[in-house]
Amino acid sequence: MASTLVESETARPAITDDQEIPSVLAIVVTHNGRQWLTDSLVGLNTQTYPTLDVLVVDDASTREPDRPLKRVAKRHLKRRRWAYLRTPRPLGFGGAINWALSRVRTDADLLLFIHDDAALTPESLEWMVARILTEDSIAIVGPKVVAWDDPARLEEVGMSADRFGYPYKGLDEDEIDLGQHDASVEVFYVTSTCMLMRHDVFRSMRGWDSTMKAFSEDLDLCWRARVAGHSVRVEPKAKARHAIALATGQRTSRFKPIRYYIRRNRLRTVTKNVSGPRLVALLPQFVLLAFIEMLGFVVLREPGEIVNLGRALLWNFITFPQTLSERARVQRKRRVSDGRLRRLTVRQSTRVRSYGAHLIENVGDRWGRRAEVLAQRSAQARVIGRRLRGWAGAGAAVAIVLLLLGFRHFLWAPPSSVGELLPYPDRVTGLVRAFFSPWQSVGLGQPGPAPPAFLMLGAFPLAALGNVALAQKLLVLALGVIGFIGAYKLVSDVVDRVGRVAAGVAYVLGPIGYSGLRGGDLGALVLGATAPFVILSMLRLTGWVRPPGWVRGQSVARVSLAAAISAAFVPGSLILYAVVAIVLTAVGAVMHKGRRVVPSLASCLIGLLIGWVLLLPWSATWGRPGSSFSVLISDPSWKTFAHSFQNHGMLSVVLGQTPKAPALFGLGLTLLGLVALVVGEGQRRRVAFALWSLVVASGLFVALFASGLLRPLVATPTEAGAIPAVAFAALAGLAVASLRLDLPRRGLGLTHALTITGLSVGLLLAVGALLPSLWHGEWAPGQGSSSDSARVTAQIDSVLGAAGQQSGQFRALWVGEKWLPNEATSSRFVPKGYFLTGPKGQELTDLFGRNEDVGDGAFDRVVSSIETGTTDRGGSLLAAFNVGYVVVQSGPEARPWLAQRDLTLTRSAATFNLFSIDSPVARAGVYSALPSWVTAIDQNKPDITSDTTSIEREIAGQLNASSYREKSVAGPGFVFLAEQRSGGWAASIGDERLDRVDGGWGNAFAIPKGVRGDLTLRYARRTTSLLLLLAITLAWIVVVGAAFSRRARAPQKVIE
Amino acid sequence: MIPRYEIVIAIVLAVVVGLGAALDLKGTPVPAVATTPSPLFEARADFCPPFLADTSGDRSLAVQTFDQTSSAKVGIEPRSPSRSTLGPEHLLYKKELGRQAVNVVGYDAPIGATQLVSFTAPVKGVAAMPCTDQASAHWFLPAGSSALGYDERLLLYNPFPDEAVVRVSFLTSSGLRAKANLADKPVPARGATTIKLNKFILTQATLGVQVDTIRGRVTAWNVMFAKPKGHPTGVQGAVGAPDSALRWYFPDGGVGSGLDETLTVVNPNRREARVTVSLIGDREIVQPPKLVNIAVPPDGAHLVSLPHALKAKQSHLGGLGAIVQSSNGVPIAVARTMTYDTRKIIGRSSELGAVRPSEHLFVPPATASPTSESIILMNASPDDATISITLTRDGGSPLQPSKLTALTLRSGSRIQVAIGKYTDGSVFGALVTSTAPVVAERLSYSRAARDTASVMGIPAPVIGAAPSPSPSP
Repeated sequence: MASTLVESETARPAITDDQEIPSVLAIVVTHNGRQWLTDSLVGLNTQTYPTLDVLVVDDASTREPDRPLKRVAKRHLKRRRWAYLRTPRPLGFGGAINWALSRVRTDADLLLFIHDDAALTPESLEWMVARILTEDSIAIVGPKVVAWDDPARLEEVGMSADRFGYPYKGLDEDEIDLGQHDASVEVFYVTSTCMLMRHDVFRSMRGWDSTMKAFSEDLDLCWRARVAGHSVRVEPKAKARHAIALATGQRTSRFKPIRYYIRRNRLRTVTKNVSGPRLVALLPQFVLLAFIEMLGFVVLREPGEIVNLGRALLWNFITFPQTLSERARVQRKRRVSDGRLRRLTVRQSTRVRSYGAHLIENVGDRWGRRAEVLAQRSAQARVIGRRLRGWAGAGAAVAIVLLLLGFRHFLWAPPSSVGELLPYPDRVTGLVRAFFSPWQSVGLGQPGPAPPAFLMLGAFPLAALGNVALAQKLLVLALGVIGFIGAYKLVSDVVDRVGRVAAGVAYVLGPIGYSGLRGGDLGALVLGATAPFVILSMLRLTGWVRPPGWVRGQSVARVSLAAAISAAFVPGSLILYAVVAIVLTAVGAVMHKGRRVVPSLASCLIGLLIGWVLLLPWSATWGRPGSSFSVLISDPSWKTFAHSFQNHGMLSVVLGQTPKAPALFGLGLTLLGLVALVVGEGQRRRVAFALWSLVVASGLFVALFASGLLRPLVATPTEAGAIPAVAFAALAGLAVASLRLDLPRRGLGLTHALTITGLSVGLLLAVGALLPSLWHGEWAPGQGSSSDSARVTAQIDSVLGAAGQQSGQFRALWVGEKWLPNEATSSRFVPKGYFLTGPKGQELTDLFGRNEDVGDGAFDRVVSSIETGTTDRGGSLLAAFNVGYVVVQSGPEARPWLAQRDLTLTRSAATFNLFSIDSPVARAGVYSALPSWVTAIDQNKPDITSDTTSIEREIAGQLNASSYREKSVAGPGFVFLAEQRSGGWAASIGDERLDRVDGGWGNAFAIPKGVRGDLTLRYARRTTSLLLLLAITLAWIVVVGAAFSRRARAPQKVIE
Repeated sequence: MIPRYEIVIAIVLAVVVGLGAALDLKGTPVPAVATTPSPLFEARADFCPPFLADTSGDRSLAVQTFDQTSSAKVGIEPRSPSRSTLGPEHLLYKKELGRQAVNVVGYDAPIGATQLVSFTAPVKGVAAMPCTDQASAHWFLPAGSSALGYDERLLLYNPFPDEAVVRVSFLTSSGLRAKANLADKPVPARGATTIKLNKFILTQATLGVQVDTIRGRVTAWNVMFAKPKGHPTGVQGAVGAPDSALRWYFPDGGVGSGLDETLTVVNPNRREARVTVSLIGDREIVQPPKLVNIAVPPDGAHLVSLPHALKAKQSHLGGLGAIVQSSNGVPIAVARTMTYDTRKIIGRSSELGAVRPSEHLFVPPATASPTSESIILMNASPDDATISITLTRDGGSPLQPSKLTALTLRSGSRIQVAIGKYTDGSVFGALVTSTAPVVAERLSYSRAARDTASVMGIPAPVIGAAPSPSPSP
């Protein structure tokens, strides 16, 4: 039993002589409960308690003209005064009672609320009245509730709840009533099944909360009574049978979905009734718990429940002002602290145990079905095992060996630091933290929003159990596997298994994986992994292939999901996908006359729009100068990207060529594509046409990019090659399938000869191109020299890392082409030949820097001064930007750096020079005057720089990228934060907010004289951004749920 | 039977492919753009060598802006923290610098600086030692000797915050000579080291010096006190070459009675260099056959003596400029040594060649007490040049005599312009502006020191110019 035992009595509490017998008004609320109502009314009619009146409230039940409810009441309440009312519309249990009491005049002392599927034993009311009269403080009394069909089985003896309002019975499943709970105890609440309540208390509490409609309103009523100082008891001598018609599915609720009402009402109840400090702590926990539950439903593939939870949160958000008003009313009457009430609630661990037990039981229920699925899987595994015997097994083994051979320079090398394929931060949660931080530490720092790619990439170190080196390999392998699955599924509707495997292999070993990995083009790899899913969903939406049981919404969700993931790395991919949708729709319209074009195209475009929405608020910044999309189309940076399309165009795309990928492999795929077109029949032939249309459309776009007639929407030819690569891989699968399925149907002739020749030559070319590259292990970042490059970088990183441990936060400047990506990409665009990193060297968090703000301009001019030789005080100038180390590639370009008088040459190697700067301006520091070099840069006055302002105190307490704290700071002085100037930064000492002063490129604050205390420096996150983040997270959960929902769901029992 | 819609689609696709192919073939590729932001400001030092410890004499400093319109602030660090304002077309002349190495820092505009030294012991003489803004891992000092009567000193100055360690090796006519006790000589941070080369190597008439840093960076000069028997005495000083190059220019020089010119070519490479020396007279270019394709051994040096290389009838040509170039693409470093023993001039000077002709040059003074001096201009460009020379001084307005304006210098010729009558024994700088790239050199004679000094004109820096390649020896 959940409650605390306070009293044990067996004798009936007596009404003393001086007490008048209180009058009772029983209110039965019924809604389509005729089946049980008769018993309920009979129970009331046969009560031994004398002064009982009955009010039957019909909550807008379905009318039965031949047997009206009023007649039922009249027939079964002959011994009582009774009345009948019908609500104009369904109001819910509490709402109906409130409505009825507003329409009748009653002087009853006590009110008995009872469900229409609950029936009292004859003496119950007498016991309950006697109990309520024993103490003035008792305001509510409930009976022992037993099962309708089996009165020996206990259903409820008072309820408890945890801090979140989750109910807790404290009974075992199907617990038999042996009198073990026959003690009148104080409980946290009793359910609305049957409760007796003092009328005056009910009035003072303004009745039920009718806003709730259904579920949890009993908890709310009792909680409010408890807060006001009343107590709630259960009287075990009173007994009510309860059919639990709703939960057992014997009738349906008007208020659906049930989980939505339960969750929203619980949150409202908690918000209204807990004390202020507790509410501040509870609300975030409640929301977090809701999100965890949503994730759970993602795993269970129950998207509807995710939506319900999201709706519940949203409802509470919208009605929050009204809830606060209600809360104020409740709290004004507070007589009892939460601490005193806590003894009646259950601890979280108790509830977790209970939930765990429930879960086990639930799993047990489902085990039968799971076992069936497992059996199916086992059978499939056995089939695969049988197939892999003999030649097939040998082939699979050879393929694995070849793959290991081809990837050996990547798999057994240190983490790559090529292009966008940078090492993970040492901290496992580094990327996730970066995502949630309102301030991004990339370059000289920039305000959010953070790129969602960080969150996606951040999952891999967790999957690698904290091994960040392994995480990078997992990432690449996962993208490869996803790409394979995508290509496999892309043709699954029109080809057999061999064709699917051929498509998968052709894709995963094709040009995108090869060029993308070698160039460290993470964007291309992600785009390559997701593109097959987008194209597949678009093929289905535009009607090219539609499997049985196809659901449009699911395809839209899949387009959204895959497009969002690829656009998180390659924003322009959304436009490419839009082109794909248009091409597929247009060609489909020609090929299938009469097909409805607009809904198909609209579905695709809506999917893409949702994909864009999923990336909010980051995607809203794509138009901002320096953003990963803006650089592609803005002057003059677009020319850099367009230049990378040089020597690439329509012909190369149509011939299956991607720069830096094996040429023969592409030619082989083109041949296979032609075979698919010539040999394929029916659906296969039509799909081949669609895929060729995509190839040609891509070719046209690439030609336009290369000629400068259209600004490049993607950064590299590899990224632009993703869609043709998907198409060619699918065509290869179609070719193989056509050979097996369509060719035998044709008569022996020229087609046979041409097909077999084409297929043989195509396969020969593809395999001939693949084998040497596999043998040489060319699937590795950095054009195959990644291990050397990675070793050099690792060497530098270790020096920087060691320095970082000694001297705190600093930036490192990397100069030279050696460190730059081979090709400019949108997330790592380094147009000026240098970039900044943190003390750990290049990391994934260094992606997506904008480099277009005030500080960036000043920094660029400083580096330009050094490189053009107009200054040799580069060390001091760079120190003003918190640059502690400079890594310069060896060679003629290093000459101006070597001439800097204040750069210490720490290490000089064949490939790099490492310079250190003696005392860089601290990332955050307290000074007597602003650092002179900062002022010199800001005012362009070199001659004021001889005065060296020594730092008085470095703020060591960096909590995260967006906040610092330092104890016992006293004015007068200045705080200088070496982060890009932004009004979002604020400083305060104690409660006093410091005034911002001109700090050049950074942020400076004046500390007035006499001010003393703990200094806080933080970049505040806006509440709206938090709410938006929550909303977007919810949207992600909903879309993921919708994308992976099962086509046919078994009916779910709601367990509460 | 092929369905009609397939034919339609095939035709459309073929047309699009044709359009794309036309774009491929006719379209102009988009050129990549490189954006270089404007530099922040000018704050640049010239590093000047220290005065030799065991010698006696004096030194002074001449500083000039290249820009004829804007002024600069000049600080001489660490000696004088206060900054002097240097107006356009003015010379800053500083004495009493002490013996320490100094950095001459120009703010707001680029400057050029030269140190003028005069010795009374161990040998009386004068020399001009240009300050350098270069810091390199390699230095080449071609003109040297450890023969009897010659005392060569190597001055290494490290203006940087990190200690440097250098390896000094010798490039001789018989190849590389490395000495174990010169393999890792430390040069303290912001300090200087002097090496007396005679202590480390036996007699070598041709002695090029190569300085390689094992760690850090340095600047290098050499000073040679020459007191050979039967020849004029004097002091030779020159800054080292931070890079080898394919072509070197020497506007001054000559053959004739009392004149002796030698060119020392060092080849700091593993390949033999083939070198051709072309002589430029006042009216014609002379190409002695003996000076074509001279072999310079790998990691070695070669001495070219002009009097010996010329035919008898060419031995009285008088003033001759020289262009030394590598004909097989192996970069070299070249210095010239002049010995004067005439009725008017006596003494010796050595100078590293110029590698970059320019339209704007600062020709610093070569000595603090000139008796006579001249500026020698050479036009190695294919165009004729019209040249003006402005003489600048400390504390006075600049001079631009009419005879020094609109001088015409034909392509492939040289001219010697006497300026002694304008400078009249005072220290004057000279700004040379030309319509075509030229090289300039200044020759000064100090009767008091009975020695000559020469200095190359310093080309104005080109903002944003790509650094010249630095092939590793």
